[in-house]
Amino acid sequence: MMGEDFHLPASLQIGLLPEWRNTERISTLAASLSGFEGVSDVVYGEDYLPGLTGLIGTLHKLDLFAGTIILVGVSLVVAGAVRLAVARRSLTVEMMTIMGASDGFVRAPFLFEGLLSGLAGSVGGLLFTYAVSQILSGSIDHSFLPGRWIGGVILLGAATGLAGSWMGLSSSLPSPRK
Amino acid sequence: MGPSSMPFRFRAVTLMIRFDGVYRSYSEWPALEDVSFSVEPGEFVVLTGPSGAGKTTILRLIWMGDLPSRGRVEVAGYSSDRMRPADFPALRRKIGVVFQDFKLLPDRTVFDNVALPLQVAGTSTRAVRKRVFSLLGEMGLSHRRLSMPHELSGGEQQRVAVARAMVAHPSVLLADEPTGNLDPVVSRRVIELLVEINRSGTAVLMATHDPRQIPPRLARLIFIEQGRIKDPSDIQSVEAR
Repeated sequence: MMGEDFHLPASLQIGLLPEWRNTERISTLAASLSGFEGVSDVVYGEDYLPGLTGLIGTLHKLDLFAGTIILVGVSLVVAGAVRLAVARRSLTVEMMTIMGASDGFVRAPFLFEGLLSGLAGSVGGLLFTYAVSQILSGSIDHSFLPGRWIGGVILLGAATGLAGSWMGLSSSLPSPRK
Repeated sequence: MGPSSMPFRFRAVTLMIRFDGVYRSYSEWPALEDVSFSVEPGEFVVLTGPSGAGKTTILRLIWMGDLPSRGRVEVAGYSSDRMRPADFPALRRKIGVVFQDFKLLPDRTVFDNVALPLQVAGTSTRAVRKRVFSLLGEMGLSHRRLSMPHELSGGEQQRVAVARAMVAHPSVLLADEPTGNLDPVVSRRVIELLVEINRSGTAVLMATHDPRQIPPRLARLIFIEQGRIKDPSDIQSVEAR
């Protein structure tokens, strides 16, 4: 089978494990591959790779920044919604306070509301993302978020809702003034 | 074992309410100036004076919705200058409050409105039902227990408000112009109800601009004008004006 007509292909395409996919390790690998007998050239995009890696790093930072903005934004929206809810039920809150309701007793329904809002928002967001992912599955090769990420997003949504409602309550519940 | 080493705090209550040199201002505007008075357990006190004199401010300081800017307020053994966060609900459970505009929760039935102070205090459902049914019966409101507040007359609404204030057996009942929105006949009934409550041992402090509603033999009068306690004899000069 391997006679004179057998030739190695003109080039070999090498796939890298994720932990090898950075400029430093790729250039080290390229240097060691260049030393192999019969290897005349190793091409790995050395001209544009550093720029591309930098761009990806920037995109990751933007991701984090956007995520933080969204988290703070969601917290503020939930805080505003809880403030409105407190205002809508101001008579109930006032009467409960006068009757000797503990802080926890007054806060609990609003915190629960914030928690549910956060949960509903994160689950809704995930469902929307899943639907988009399904629509794009024919044209773009990708996989949906792993299970741990899904759990994390739901927990983060719940925590954000809870934090938002806590913020909203802190500024809208009556407390004795001096 | 000395008092300081005891595993609990005594709250010796010889006076139900005590104001000691109390000042209270809102945005630099003085609502109360050097107010001092006391109310004994089981006493009926009428706090009177013209509108804006500071009557509502005094009631608000009693349930410690606000704290004095200066001076000290003591209520049922709690002192305004030593309040811990957990003391506010504990104090307020000893106080019943009735308002001129009733402040019944519009989305709850009469039963639920009256039950609220007990639910807030964590009373069991069975005990809540028993106490509320009994009180509504005493006040002639049993047939109205499933009604919504807007379905009641003004007099009925105020009786529900009084029932709500009394349901948790408070040591003191505060009434802020309780007859302000009622006609004279219904007003008289509400006053009779307050007198009856007082006779059962609850201290009553009623704020009103019309002290003639209560016969002088039944209540002590405190007259306040422009945030200061005045001699009750000044009432006549005010009325004359």
